[in-house]
Amino acid sequence: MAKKFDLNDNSVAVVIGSGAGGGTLSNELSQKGINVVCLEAGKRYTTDDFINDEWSAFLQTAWLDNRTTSGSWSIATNWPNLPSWIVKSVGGSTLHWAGASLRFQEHEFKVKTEYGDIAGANLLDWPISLKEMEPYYDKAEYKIGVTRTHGIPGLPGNNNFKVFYDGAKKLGYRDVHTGRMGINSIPRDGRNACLQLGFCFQGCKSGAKWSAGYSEIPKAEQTGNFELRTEAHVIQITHNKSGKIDGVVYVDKDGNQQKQKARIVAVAGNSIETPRLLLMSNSSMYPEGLSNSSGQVGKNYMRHLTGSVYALMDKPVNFHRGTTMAGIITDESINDPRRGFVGGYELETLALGLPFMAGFLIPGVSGWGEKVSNALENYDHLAGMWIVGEDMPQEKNSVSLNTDVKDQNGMPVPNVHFDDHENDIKMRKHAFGKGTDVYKAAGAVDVFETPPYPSTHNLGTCRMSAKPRDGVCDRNGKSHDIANLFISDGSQFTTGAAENPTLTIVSLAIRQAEYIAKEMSKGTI
Amino acid sequence: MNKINLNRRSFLKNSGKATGFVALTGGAVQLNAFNAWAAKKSSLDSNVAKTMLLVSKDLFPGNKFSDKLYMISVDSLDGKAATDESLKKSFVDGVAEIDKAAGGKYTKASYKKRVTILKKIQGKPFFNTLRWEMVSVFYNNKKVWDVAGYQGPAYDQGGYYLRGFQDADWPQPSKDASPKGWWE
Repeated sequence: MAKKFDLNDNSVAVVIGSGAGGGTLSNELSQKGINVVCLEAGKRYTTDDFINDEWSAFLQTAWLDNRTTSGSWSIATNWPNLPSWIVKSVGGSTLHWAGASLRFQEHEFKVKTEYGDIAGANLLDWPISLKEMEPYYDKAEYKIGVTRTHGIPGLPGNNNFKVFYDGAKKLGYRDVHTGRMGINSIPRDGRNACLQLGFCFQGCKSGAKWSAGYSEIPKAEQTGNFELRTEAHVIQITHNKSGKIDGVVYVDKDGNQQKQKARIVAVAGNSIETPRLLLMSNSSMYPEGLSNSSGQVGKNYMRHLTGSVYALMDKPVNFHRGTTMAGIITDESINDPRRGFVGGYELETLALGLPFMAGFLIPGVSGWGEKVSNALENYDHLAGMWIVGEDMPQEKNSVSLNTDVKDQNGMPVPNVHFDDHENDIKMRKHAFGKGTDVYKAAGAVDVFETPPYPSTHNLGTCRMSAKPRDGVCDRNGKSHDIANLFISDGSQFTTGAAENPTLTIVSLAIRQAEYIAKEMSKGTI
Repeated sequence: MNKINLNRRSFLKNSGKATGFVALTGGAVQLNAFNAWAAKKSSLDSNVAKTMLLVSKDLFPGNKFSDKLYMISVDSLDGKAATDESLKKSFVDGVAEIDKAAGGKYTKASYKKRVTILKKIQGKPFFNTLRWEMVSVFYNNKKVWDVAGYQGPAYDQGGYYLRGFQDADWPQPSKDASPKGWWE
C-alpha cells in the first residue's frame, strides 16, 4: 500500500512529475522493487472530480502558472501568457490527452540522414532506431490498451468522423479509420468501455481513456514501494561536491520548502518545466544549469506545427457527440519532398464544445464578426480536424528563464520563444489545403483555417543525442553530464515526428525503467 | 477508482430515459428590454448598457439569438462594474469614444459604420473586455447552447452512445474504418 519515505532517505529514486513520462516511470520502477518518491506539482483528481464543462475543467486542471512568450508565432500574440495547454494534476497531461497512440515511423528516427541539411534546422538522428523501440512500443500499447493493437477492436466513429471519412474517401485517401486510440473500445484493465461522452480533454469521467493518474499511479501505490506527494512543486535539483545529484528542493502545499534526498532523480515536468528546472538548478559547479555542458538545455523547442480546419456543413453534424478525436487520415504522414517540404503530417478529427469554439475558432482579438458568429450560431453544423505535423528543431526556439518575472514561489518564469521554420509554414499551408478539400468534398459551405492553439505537444528541450555536444541526454534519457540524472518526458525527443507523442513518451519510460533497474542492480548509479 | 460496473444494455436503456435537450421557446424579446433597465438595480446607465448590447451584437451578429440572450453578456458586465469603479469608468469612456467616432451616437450609426468603428478599436481594453465577455460568458451559457445546438455534458445520461453520436446524414463508413461499438 501507499508508503511514506523519509526526507533523508537517500536510497529513493525521485521522479518529478506524474504524467505520461513520470507516472509511467514511477510505476515501472516500483514494480521492479525500486523505492520511488514521485513529486507532483498539482492536485489529485479522481474520475468523479472531473468536470464536463470546458472552462470549469480548464480552470481546475490547466497549468496556469505565469509564463511569457516571444517570437513570431501566433501564440505570442493570441495567448502571450499561455504558450502551452498542459495539465497541473496527478497524471499530468494524460488527463487531457485525446488518446491518439501512434508509433513513429522508421525514417522519423533518422531525419538528419533522411532529410539532409535543412537551413536553419538543427536536425539530428535519434540515437535509437524504430527496431530498438518496437518491443517497447508493443509494451506501451498493451499497457495503454491501444485500439487496433493486441487484438483490441477499433472504436466506433462518431458524426465528426463520418463527415471526415466521406470527404477523405472522395479525395482518394486510403488510410482513414478511427485511429489507434488509448481509449477502451472494450472493458479492459479495470476500466470501462467508451460511452462516447465527449470531453476527452477535460478528464474522462468514465475512465475509458488511459491516464497515468488512474492507470499507473494506483498500481505503483499497490507495490508498497511508492509514495506520491501532491502539490509538491520542485524548484531545484541539488548535487554533492563530486557533482552527482543528491536530492531536490520542493515547495509543499503549505508553501514550505522541503528537501528530499535521492539516489537518482528523473525529471518529467513536460518540455517547458523540465529545462526550466535544470536551468534554475545552476550552481558554482554548473553555472549554466544542470546537464548543460552542450548549451542545449531548453533549445530546439518543438510543438508540432499544428493548426485546425473547421467546416460549416450543409446539414447538422453534432460533432460534439462522442470522442474528441475520433479518426485519422495517415496518408500525408509520409516524407515526400515533392510536396515542397520535408516530413509529414497526420489529420485527426477534433471537436470542441461551443464555449471553446468561441475562443478558439479564430483565436485572439480578431475573432469576431459575421463569419465566426455564423459558424458559432450554427454550431451543430460544424465539423473539425486538427493537423499534427513534424516541425523543425531550431536552436533559437527555446525555453529560457525570464528573470524579470517571478512565479508564486519567487522563481523566474519560463519564457518560450518560437518562430515557425519555413518548412513548418509550407507544411501547414499544404495541410490547410488538404483539410479544406476534405470538407468541401463532404459538402462544406464555409471553411476555417484556424492557427495553432497553445501547445499541447511540447518537445525536444533536453534532447537525446549520440554525442554529448549535440544534446542533453543519451539514448536512455540519462544526462550526458551527470550519471544519476534522467530526463523522462517528451523533452528527450531528438525530433518530433508527425505523430502524437504520448505513446513514444510511455515507451521511452518503460525502456528507461529497465535501464535504471539494471544499472542500479549493477551499482553503477 | 472506476466504480462503473454495469450491465451494458440495461444501463444504456435506463439512462436513455433521461432527457437532455430542452428547446428554447420564444425568442421575440427586443431592445425594449431596456425599458426596465432603469428600474432594476444596475450600475451602468441605460445608454451605456444599450450601446454595449449593440456592440456585443455587432461583434457576434446572429439571426437566431434574441436581444434577451445578448443581455447575458451585458448583465454580466453590469454586475462586474457594480463592484469595480475603474471597470465601470472604462465602459462609460469606451461608449463615449465610439459615440464620438460615430459623430453622435454609436447606436444611431449604420451597421457598416459601426463595424468600421469596431475595427478601429480592436485590441483596445474596452473592445477586448466586451469581446471576451461574449466568448467566455455568452457562449458559455446553456440558453445560448440550446439555440446553437450544443448539448454539453452527457455523462449523467450515459454518454452520447444512444444519443445520436452516429446519426449525421453522411454515409456510414466501412466496418474496418469504424467498427461497431462494444455496447451493440
